[in-house]
Amino acid sequence: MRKMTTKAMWLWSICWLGGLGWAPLSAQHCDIALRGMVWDADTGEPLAYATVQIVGTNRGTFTDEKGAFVLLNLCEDSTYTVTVSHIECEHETQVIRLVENKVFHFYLHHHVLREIVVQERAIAPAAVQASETLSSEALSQRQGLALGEALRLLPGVAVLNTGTTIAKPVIHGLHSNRIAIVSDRLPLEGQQWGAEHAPEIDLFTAQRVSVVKGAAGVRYGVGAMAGAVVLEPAPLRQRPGWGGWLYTGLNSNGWGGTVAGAADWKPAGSSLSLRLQGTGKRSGNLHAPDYWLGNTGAAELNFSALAEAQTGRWRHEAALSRFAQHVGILQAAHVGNLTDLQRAIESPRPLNNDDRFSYGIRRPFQRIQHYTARHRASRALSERWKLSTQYALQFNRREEYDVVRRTGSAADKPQQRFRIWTHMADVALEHAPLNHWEGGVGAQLLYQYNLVGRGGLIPDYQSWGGSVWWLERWRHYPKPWELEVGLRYDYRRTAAQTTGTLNTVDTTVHFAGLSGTLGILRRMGEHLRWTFNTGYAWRPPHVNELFARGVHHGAGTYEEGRPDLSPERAWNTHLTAHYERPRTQAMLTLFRNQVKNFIYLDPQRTLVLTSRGAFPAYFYAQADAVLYGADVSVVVPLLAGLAVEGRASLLRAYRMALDSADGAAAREWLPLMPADRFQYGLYWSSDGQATASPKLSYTYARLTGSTTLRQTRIPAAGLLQEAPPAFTVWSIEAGRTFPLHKRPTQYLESGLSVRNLTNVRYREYLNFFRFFADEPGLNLSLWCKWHF
Amino acid sequence: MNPISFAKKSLVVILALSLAVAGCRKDEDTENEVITTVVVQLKSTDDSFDREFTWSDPDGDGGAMPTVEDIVLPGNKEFNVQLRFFDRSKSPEKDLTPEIEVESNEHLVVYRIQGSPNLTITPTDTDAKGRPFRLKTRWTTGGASMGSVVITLRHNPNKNLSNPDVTGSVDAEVEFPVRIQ
Repeated sequence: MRKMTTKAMWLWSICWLGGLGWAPLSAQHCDIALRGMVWDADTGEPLAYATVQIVGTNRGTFTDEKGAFVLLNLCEDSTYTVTVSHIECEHETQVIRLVENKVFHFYLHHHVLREIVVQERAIAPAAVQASETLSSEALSQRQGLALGEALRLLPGVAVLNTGTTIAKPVIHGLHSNRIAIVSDRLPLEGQQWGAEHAPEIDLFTAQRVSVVKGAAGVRYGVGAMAGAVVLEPAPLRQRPGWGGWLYTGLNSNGWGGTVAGAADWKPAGSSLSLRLQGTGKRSGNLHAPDYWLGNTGAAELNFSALAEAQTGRWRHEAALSRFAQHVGILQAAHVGNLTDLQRAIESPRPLNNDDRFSYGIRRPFQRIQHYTARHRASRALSERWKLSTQYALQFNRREEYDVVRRTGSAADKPQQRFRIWTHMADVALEHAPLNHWEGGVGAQLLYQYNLVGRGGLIPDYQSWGGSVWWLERWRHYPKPWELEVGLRYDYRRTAAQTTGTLNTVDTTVHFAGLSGTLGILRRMGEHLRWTFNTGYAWRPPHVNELFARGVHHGAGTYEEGRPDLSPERAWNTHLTAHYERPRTQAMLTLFRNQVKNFIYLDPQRTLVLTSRGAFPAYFYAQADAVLYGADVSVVVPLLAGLAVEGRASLLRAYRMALDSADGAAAREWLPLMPADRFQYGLYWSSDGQATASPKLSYTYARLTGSTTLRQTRIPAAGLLQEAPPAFTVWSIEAGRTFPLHKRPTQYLESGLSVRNLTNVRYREYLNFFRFFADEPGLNLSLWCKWHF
Repeated sequence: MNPISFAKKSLVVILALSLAVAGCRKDEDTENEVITTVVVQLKSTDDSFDREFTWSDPDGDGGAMPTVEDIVLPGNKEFNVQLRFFDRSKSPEKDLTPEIEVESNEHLVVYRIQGSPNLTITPTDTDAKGRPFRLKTRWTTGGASMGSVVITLRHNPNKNLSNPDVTGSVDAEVEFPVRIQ
């Protein structure tokens, strides 16, 4: 290994130890650039010939005539102390944390004031895979929403709803077990298989939310066939002292309120850093344009604690979290049989609807808790190698309360309960660039115990799993090419058993498979970037697909699993062109996902007779499927501060069907695929004329129209009704940020949003309750977040 | 805080939480009610006929097909009819009829005669508020004929409406073939 100078070693120790955590499969990049601008905060002019230095190193540079500077070969996700000085201004120091390529704006004040402000403005992540990140503005506006709803605006992302209270993200047409939800580098393990099981995520724990599109199995494990939703918390404090934020928000529709807060503390003279965070939400029945939606109230109470500390050469991070939710299910959607379902579909207004406002949550409802406990430890083995370990326990309890007899023995009991314990142990060995290759190898062990109990929809099961992975990325700044390759092998063994009298299962199944990824990034000039990614991912059939048996009430269908299903294997290819200038952006992604043995519900030509009447039968089946389409997003500046925005999400999805007559292959559309969607609007920001007068306070406003076409590509067979007609929904979002004190860390963010501005009546094809009621009408939200 | 003790404490907390999560709350059992069996008890007013006819699907939805007994009745008679509902997926089996009777205000039975059996059904009971309930009925047969009766048990109907028969949700809906001799 190359000999390092003391100063370089010092830099390395900052890289490894200074605030970076355990990064499974996202090896730390130590060849990224810190780009920034230095401004005269008083005149608004760029400051030329300002000195920029990284404290404790010999690294430094000067700003050019335009006030810009660049420092190369720094480590991503690391903390640096940067000093910016200018002969006319106060010499100031700021701790920054490099997360991806960001442009940092330093505002220097003349000698009178002692201020420096760092404003981070993300330029596109240099991921080799197509991905979208919620802007900090968009995240601030949506922190009070469910995860699925918050991601709705991203191209290529749709939402699968069960009424208004349950929302799941859909990436390029796939959801549930076919995508991963990764919060603080830990894949969420709950009951994701169910379309009416929303992810147990509190958005207030995240500072950054992004969606990775395409096969992400190597990075995020089995199941990430269509992508992943990745949430990252804000880094803990690196300087002694305390800080935090307090959020309050109000919604007019449902008269809902949200209170959330976090407090960060780092004692002086210790490596310890702590955060406590909590969120409470409460809302009542929502209102559609013409009526109240009975029993759509919801309540949520979440806590989390994060801590990190250094002991000798080990860096420890510990986290505990609890997510608890209590959500009502639209009463009008509770139908017992097909005749009632038909009647509900034919009625323009919901039947059996409790058409009034109430905060009460009555049966049917869901009660969900998710607990996470985790410990990570990492240490540098040498200046180039890092070892990290992690153990995490997740416990998820989901209880579903159906309408039952008030005086019966079931009156105080849930009708379904799922409890799942997931133990995950990880070890990873990662290296900093060796001949410009950086990456690592690792292994994971998993044990899952799922207890459903007798009479459950799915059997009890235990799963044992193991995986090994290897991921490397080649980057040689400033060469325009970057490369990423990865491989992963996963094994899963599942023993399923039911003890009830209804559905007897006692089987063990084994699945194993390889995942792979290959990504190429090519920069063309300063503004254009191409990425090509092709990946192979797989997922074993879930227990419900193998062994489920019962009536799916919301859909009015009888569903039956098939024990001999084989794993789905997806080959997913993306090509993305990304053009970016300070105020102009354009992105085009073309994708094709070919899934072998795609598991779907196949309508049968029979009815299954039950004690509530006859239901059409759907059996789980497999066929090869293809999903392809395009995502587009464009931002074009108009006048000062004003820009036009446009986004489009297009998807086609079919499976091969054997034509019974001549055995020839025919194509059949896949059900419940997002219809084509177009979003367009205007954006105005006071920051638009940055060179004129950059300010600490900042105002923006956005008007967006979203047109969703009618989904015409639906399977010919089956009971699924014609999709609802096309609709356009308008919304407004506006926000203002202003400083409270001279200290840049103390400021107030405030915002207002109006969703469904014109109070339009519409129904979404991807909402299971489209048969029963309209989507909610106008909602005015007001919120503010005080950073102290 | 000493960082080493912090690391130890965090491990202790995690272990304690694992145990707490795994074992502290004793979950109450779930109870998933399945109406597997509907029994129609017919007793003629002249005491010459007393029989039960059963619709049964003891393994719940799917699986083995339900079994239905044809209701075969002598013509030109009157019968007092009582319905009974059971959950036979459990052992011991559970008779749900008492619960339904106690909650008469929240239940309603609906009869739909199909085909052309010479049969009329008239209620002989009301709920606690004097509104339709129809768990007990009187069936009057005419001459020899065939058809069927669809019996629907509705939960939480809106009995304040003039026609509550299509309101609420369906707890059970079974069809018995009927033959009048």
